[in-house]
Amino acid sequence: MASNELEVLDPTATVEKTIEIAAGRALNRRDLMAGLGIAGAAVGAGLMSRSSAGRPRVVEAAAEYTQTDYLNFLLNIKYLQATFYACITQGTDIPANYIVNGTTYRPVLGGAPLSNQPAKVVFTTLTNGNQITDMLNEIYYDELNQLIDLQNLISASNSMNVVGTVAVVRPLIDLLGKGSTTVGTTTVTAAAALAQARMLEDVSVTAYTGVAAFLSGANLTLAAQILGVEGAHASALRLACIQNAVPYQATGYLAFTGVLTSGSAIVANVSSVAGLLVGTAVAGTGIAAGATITVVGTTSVTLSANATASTAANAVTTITTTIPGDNVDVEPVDIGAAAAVKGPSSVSGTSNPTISQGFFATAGSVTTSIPPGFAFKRTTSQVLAVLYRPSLAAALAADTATTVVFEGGFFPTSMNGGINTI
Amino acid sequence: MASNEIEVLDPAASVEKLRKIAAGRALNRRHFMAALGMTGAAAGASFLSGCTVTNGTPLTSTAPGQTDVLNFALNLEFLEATFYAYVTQGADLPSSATLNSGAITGAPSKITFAGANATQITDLLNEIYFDELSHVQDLISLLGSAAVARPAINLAALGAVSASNALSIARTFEDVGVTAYAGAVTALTDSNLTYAMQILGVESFHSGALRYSIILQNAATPGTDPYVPASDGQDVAPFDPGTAVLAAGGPSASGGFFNTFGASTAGSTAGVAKTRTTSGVLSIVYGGGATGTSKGGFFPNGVNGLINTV
Repeated sequence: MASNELEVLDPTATVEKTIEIAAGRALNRRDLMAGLGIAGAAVGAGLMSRSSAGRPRVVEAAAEYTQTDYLNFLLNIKYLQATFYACITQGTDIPANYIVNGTTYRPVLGGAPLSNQPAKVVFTTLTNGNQITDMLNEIYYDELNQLIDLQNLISASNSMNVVGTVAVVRPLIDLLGKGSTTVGTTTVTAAAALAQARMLEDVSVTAYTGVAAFLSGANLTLAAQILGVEGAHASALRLACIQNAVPYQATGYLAFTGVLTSGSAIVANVSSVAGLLVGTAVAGTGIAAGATITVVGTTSVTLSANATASTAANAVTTITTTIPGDNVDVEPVDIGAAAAVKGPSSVSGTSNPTISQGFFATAGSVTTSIPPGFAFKRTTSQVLAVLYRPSLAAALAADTATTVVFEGGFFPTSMNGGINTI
Repeated sequence: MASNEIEVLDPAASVEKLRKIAAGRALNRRHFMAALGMTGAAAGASFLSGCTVTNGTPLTSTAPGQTDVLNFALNLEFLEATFYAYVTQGADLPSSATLNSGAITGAPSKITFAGANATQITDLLNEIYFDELSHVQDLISLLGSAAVARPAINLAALGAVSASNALSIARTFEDVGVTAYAGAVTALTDSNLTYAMQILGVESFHSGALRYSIILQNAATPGTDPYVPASDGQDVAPFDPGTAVLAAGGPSASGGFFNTFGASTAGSTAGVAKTRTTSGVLSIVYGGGATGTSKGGFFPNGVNGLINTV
């Protein structure tokens, strides 16, 4: 191997490795939806009502994505972010008509309604709460204007785009990523809102780094200009999360170990509770099917159902959450100067071994698949694996040649446009 | 190739090919840059204006290639990494990064921060140092024998570095860095482009955290971190003008959390980072020099490589 190549080393447990291998295969697949005639600009597109369990894969010649497809992919993500910030900072959806320097724009373009639409959140109770409130309002302004910038670019007829191409409208969005198609409102705590905002910004960064090589000219320049702000949003939010010890919202599966007792709902001696949330589904030997976490302690968790088998004596049971996606993320934590000078790392004894910690979502000094000190990148498939939140079973099934995952999580009826499957 | 592997071009073998490709694209790029109207500060300047006679090398008909762009970036990374090395470690970069380096002047002793968030700021700067050192090492590794050496650097070009201005000078570096990469990406392709975007992402990470830290610092103790602007004025002070102002128009004339165009900049793309040409960036790091300037400011002997003149 040449000296300037980097090799993927995977020192983690067997379960994690299985997930990575399965995910890795799935993520290389081209979108075959194009072969079904759903390619390119799709105003109000959609496939008709679909089973959320997936649909048969039609093996067609894979179509190349256009730059418009990639921009519309980024536009879908921007709809999610702009709408989320509008709700939590303004208490309303993004405006139907938005005036910038005398020109009226229509950011929603007549798109779909919202599920789990959160009410305006009060952030002033947090440490530096006034600054956080103001910062989130500026982020809202940025995201709304980036949305318009993307719409304008996609819809403009110039030599980079097909004449007459239009930006896709906003699809149905579940603003809390729960996969619900029921239109309605909800509330979210300040900490949870911060945690999700942070996660979406870091995922957004990786979406832009991941599609960059497919863009050129004005499309690439705008993507770079947006990236230059998304990263700043991410790190400012990460700092706010650190200063408030906000519980981590993960992008991927988490693995931990514990001790089960048959007939008891308590998992004892949990290796790490980092990232575990009430409601998270879990799986493992001796855990009842469909069990979820009902209480998160400091060294134990309580499940919604009793264990069906005990952990063997002097052993531990490996338990995985079924929040899907990946582990290309870094938990916002100040690991101290001595550790930070070596980049993000997993601090043994205090953190989930599959997640690194640090101020920024970058690769640390342990050999990884990307250069140290670089931001991560995700393919469109990897981004959707995070945003669609398929179950572990569905994600693994998506690796086969017979099913695709095309909706769920933040996009319960799929993204609009040519790129919308894992 | 699996999606999580990276492809590293062998620069020694590809430089000439890249030059030819870049030249072929140069004319198209010129049109796009002009059409964008988003080239930031240097009026009339374009990326292509960096072609000039340097160190006796005859003027060529080919535009600067990807290797030259990456070396231009490497010079900026040398500046940032060296700054953070002294601020956080009290020492220069590891010797592996300083082969054939020019002299370093104006270097501060290791900075000790005080006041609110002092520990967090110290830890933050250590992680930033890791990132910038990594960028230097990653670019040197990528460029191989084509990598330029570190030029002479004067770290005190914007004032003697101390606890009261270290954050603000760092902030200026990061925000100028973001615009430099954003302005350069259309000159790059494939893995070079992806790497540049990944580095751009990290520069913006640094910007966001530094700006927020400065705002909190000044909120707690006004004037602690005085604003150190980029010399061309295409810059936003870290400042919190309040909820109503920000939601309505982004940064005000007094500043904002993020270095973006606000609503006040008529005709510009709002909510996004600015771009600068290489000339625009060089003017700033050379201390505000006009067209034709080839040294000054942070680089007493100029930067190394083909792209070295405003």
